[in-house]
Formats: sequence, structure tokens, C-alpha cells
Amino acid sequence: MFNSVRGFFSNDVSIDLGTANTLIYVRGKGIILDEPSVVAIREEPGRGNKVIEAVGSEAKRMLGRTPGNIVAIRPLKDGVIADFTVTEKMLQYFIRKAHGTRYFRPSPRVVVCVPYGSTQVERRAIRESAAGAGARKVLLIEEPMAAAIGAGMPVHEAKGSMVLDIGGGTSEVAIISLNGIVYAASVRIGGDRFDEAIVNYVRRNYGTLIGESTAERIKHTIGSAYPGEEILEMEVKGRHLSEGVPRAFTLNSNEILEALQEPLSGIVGAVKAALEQTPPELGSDVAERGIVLTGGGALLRDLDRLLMEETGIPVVIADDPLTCVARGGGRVLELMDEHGGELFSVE
Amino acid sequence: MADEIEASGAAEGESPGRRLRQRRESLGWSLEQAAHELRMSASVLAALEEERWDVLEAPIFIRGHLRNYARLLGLPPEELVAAWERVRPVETPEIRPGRPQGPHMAAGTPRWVFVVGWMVLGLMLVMGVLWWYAGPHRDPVVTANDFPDEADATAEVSPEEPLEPDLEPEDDDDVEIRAQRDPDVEMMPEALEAPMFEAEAPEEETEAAELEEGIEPIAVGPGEPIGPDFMESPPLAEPVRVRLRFEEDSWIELDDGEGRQVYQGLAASGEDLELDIIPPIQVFLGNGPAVRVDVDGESVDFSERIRGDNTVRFDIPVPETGE
Repeated sequence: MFNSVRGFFSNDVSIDLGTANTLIYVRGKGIILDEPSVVAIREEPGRGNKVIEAVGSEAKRMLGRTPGNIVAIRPLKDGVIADFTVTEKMLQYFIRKAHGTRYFRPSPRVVVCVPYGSTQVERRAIRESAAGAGARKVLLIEEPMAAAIGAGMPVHEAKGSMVLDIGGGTSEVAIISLNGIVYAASVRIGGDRFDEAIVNYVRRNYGTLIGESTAERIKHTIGSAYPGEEILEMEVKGRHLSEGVPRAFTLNSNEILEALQEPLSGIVGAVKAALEQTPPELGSDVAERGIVLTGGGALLRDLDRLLMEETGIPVVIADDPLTCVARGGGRVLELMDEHGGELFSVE
Repeated sequence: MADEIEASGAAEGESPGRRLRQRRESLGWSLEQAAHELRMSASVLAALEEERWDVLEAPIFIRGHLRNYARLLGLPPEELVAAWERVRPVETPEIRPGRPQGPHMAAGTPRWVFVVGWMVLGLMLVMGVLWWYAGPHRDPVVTANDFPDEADATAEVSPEEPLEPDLEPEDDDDVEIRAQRDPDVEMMPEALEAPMFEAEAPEEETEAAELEEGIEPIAVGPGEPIGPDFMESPPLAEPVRVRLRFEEDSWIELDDGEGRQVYQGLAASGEDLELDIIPPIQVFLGNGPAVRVDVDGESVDFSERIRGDNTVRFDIPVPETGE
């Protein structure tokens, strides 16, 4: 009873609890929070109890730069919860931040997006951590569905729409028709694997160690998925493995392209497998309209070109691909109020 | 080729489809050639050039293909998309239920019903609270004026006299002790002489102490006049001595035999309250297990009546011995 009173004063929210970033969409307000899913925890000496030092972008700046008593951790791995308590704390912080200062704790209805094919255990962990963070009611929706709705695809039509959502931890590909998923697959390849591949490439070819934050910066600046005409360069500093001292060197976009080959071929393979599994009628719809790219991975330069060349199907990048999933979750909440709860398979 | 983005100043105000076709033709490409480059069917491309937007249906596809086509031809993509936004004929299509409207697909309760419902409920809640605190069932807060004077038969003190000495030594004695509300015990000899003021004196103190804590007990102010009707009220049963000891903080309410509220307030942990009250006494404790109640030196066992939330409500009857 009290919860529902509190709920009356809380706005419904949709959370894209991603491996790399957490986004919160508040109904009627839009995306109001977009922060890295990082939590910094300080251990108090002597007493041994742990205190949250920072959450979000502030904590991300600490990644790899912390003293002994502080650990900056990413509580999600491969799209699912790896550290339950920390995820709960992080969600609590984000939900409160999203609601601004209020006199009471918010108790919103929450839609959380989960990777397609995540296990019952993983879903339950997400559900419980959202409930622990103060949600009145937790609804789970599969990420490709949310991404398609958020991108504005006409998912209700009796026509096939194909969406590829490349997140931080997972990439999801799905064929959607009549508000339902016809085929979907999730591969545990995402932005994190791109970063890892860059770190490994630099270590192998330059004998130099760089951190994941640096790798991410390289990916954003000069990363590309298809050989382009102009070659970009960037100066990077890392620790030379044999000399043990920091050294600067220059990387170019073709090297990064080479480094990213392995994760990229994994994603292309997943898309091809999805196309093979698609019923022919839907396949022809997809061939006509194209594949829609969402998620942070869609921002990798020329990824659409690579997919187009590999599959022979046009590829379209959604507007504001980073926020598609969160916006889609919010739209689902609205649709559920308009049409009742049976519209989508929401748990 | 088409890589250098052309600043197409002349075509600024032109429709996106015409701009695309002009650019393609100026590059000398056939529709099929361009369609092959984009892996699209020529018919869809032709529809874009002829601005038959309904072929692609959803705006996301129109925007996406416009961008791709513009990039291929070396036109600024965002400019074309903006031009399309200006001429777009349809609104963003709503996501509609794809299945026929079954009974379970009925539209949800309109939102205003909830809003009105909550407002009504809130109003009722507020009225309920007002009624509870100010309703006719509540007697006015006990004051010295209407406190029954059954002691005038035994003690011939004037009303002012015992009250003032009771308080003033306390004030002068030790403020800290007063804050802890322990000195009740020390006041006992005096209190025995004039039992009717006993209920009064602790209230004065608790009020003083509780004001320091920022809590408002319902009690008489020290400055209130003690009226003449004080002497006139008919004597009731003999008051009994109720002693309450608190192991933890607890809310407490005591109503005497006449249904008047003798005491109401939050007692702190470790506090020791002694009151002389006319039975039967109705006792309400917010934290039952943490309070020990003695009546005339005998402890009262109310453990069976403690409810799940630790509150307890019980009566102390008139002692049968008539003491």
C-alpha cells in the first residue's frame, strides 16, 4: 500500500543496464541519465567495511588508477550481473539520481532490458537487484525487442525487421515481426571485446601494455571496421614490456582494423547465421528494408559498410543508437498502459 | 568519385529526391549502378528519388537509406535528412497491437481514473488524520484546571502551593537530571503527600525535557492558571501509583478512569516515569517489550497482549482491595 503511494510520486523508468553504460529513461522526460556502469569501492582500513566511493563517470575515471584501498569495478560482465550487491547499489544510486532530490525514496515501475537468451538465474539477479534498488515492480524485456522499438522500427507489422544491437558486453541480432521475436541470437562479443582485442594487438606488435581505457579511446578515435580511403593516426603511450618504462608510439586505423578482425568476424557470423535461420518471407522483407544497427557498436566507423559488403543487404544506422534500448523500454511502458500488458512478451 | 562532400548551394531549398537524382545523373550513374553499390533494390532507390516515401514505411528506414544514398553520391547526408523532415508527409507511425483486439487487449484503465482515485484517497486520508487528532472522541488535553481533585479530602494544600515547590527545586537543583527525567524518584516523598499532583509534576518535567528534544508532548504549560473548579470536581477512586521503566524508546499514552489523557509522549530509553492515576487506566505502549509497568509496586504482565508490531494496549483495573 505504502509502496503504491510512493509509486504515485515516482515516474516509471526504463533502464538499459548495460555492461559499459547504464541509461535511464524516465517517462515523460526522456533519457536523463547516461553513465558508465562502474562503481568505485573504498575499503576502510582496520574495520574492513566497504564504502561506495564513486559511481558512474566519476568512478570510470578511477578505473586502473586506484590506490590499494580503492577498487573500481564494473559489476556487469557480458551483459549480465557479475557482482550482485554492487549492481544493486549502483542501480539505487542511479534511480535516486534520476529522480533528483525528493523527500522520500522513489519507488518507480521499472523496465529493465536483459540480453536475449540470458538464463533464469541471470534474469532473476537483475530482477532482484532492481527490486532491491527500490523498484515497485520490475519488468524484464529482451534487448533486441527494446532496441527495435527504440529505433522506431514498425515491429507490429507482418513484415520482417532485423535489428543488430552491439552493446558493451553482448551483440544481439533479431528478426522481429508482429510484436514478437522470430529468431534471435546473442553473442558475447561487444565493445569490451573490441578493447581487449586492441590491447592484445598492441602488446603483440609493439611489446607495449596499454590499459582498457586507452584502448577504448583508440577505438573511438581511429577504430574502423572497413578499410577506408583515409588513414587516421593517433599517438598512444603505454608501458614497454621489456624496458618497463612508458613509451609513446603511433597507431593507425588500418592496424586497429586488423586488431578488430576477430571480434568483428564473430558479429558478422552471428548476422549471417540469423539470416540463414530466417524464414524466406521475412528474409525478403529484411533484404528490402535493410538491417538496423543500434547500440554503441554502431558508432564504430564503417561497421555498416562491413555488414553491407558481407551480407549483401543494406544496413541502416538508427538515430542516436546508444539510447535506443532505453528509449524502447520506455516506449514499452507507455504502450503497456495504452494497450494493456499483453502487447509484448514482458516478464 | 563521390567522396568529396559537395557544397550544393543551389540545391539548398530543393526537395531531397530531386537533389539525389540530379547528383546521380551528373555523376553519370544509372539507377541500377547506384542500387548495386548500396545493395538495395533499384525500385526502392527509384522510390526515394521520386519521393514515394510510403514504399519504405517507417521513418527510420527512410532516414537511413537517405543518409546512405547521400553518402554514396557525396551529398551532405544530414542536410538531405533535414530536407526530408521538412517535407515528410506522415507522422511517426505508432506501434500498434498487431493482433486483433481480443478481450485481453482492451485498453488499460485511463490514467485520469488513477489520478482522481488517488486524490480522493488522499483527501480521505487527510480527513481521517484530522478526525483522529481533533475529532470529538478526543478529550481535550489534560490541564491542571480539569484535573480531578480527590486529594483535597486528605491534603488541605492550596493548588498552587505544591505545584510550585515541586517545580522550582527541580529547576534549581540540576538541569541535567531534569533532562534525563530521573528525579521523579527523588520527588516521591513530596508526591506522596499530595498524590494528585504527582501526575502533574512529571508532565511538567517531561514537557520541559521533551521540548529540549523538540518533541511535543500533550501536557499542561506551567503558567496555566489553576482554576476554582479544581476544588469542585467530585472525588473518584483512589489513584494508583503507576511506574514505567523504559529499556528502549517507546511511545506511551495513559488514559485515566474518566477517559482523560494523563500522559502522551515519547519516553526515552532508560527513563523512569512515576504517575499517580485514577484507575481504571488504559495504557498504550508503542514498544511493549521494552517497558516494564508496576502498579503500586506490583509488576503488570502484559506480554501476552503484545501485538506483532510490538504495540500493546491494556487496562489496569480498579484494585479490588479498595486501596
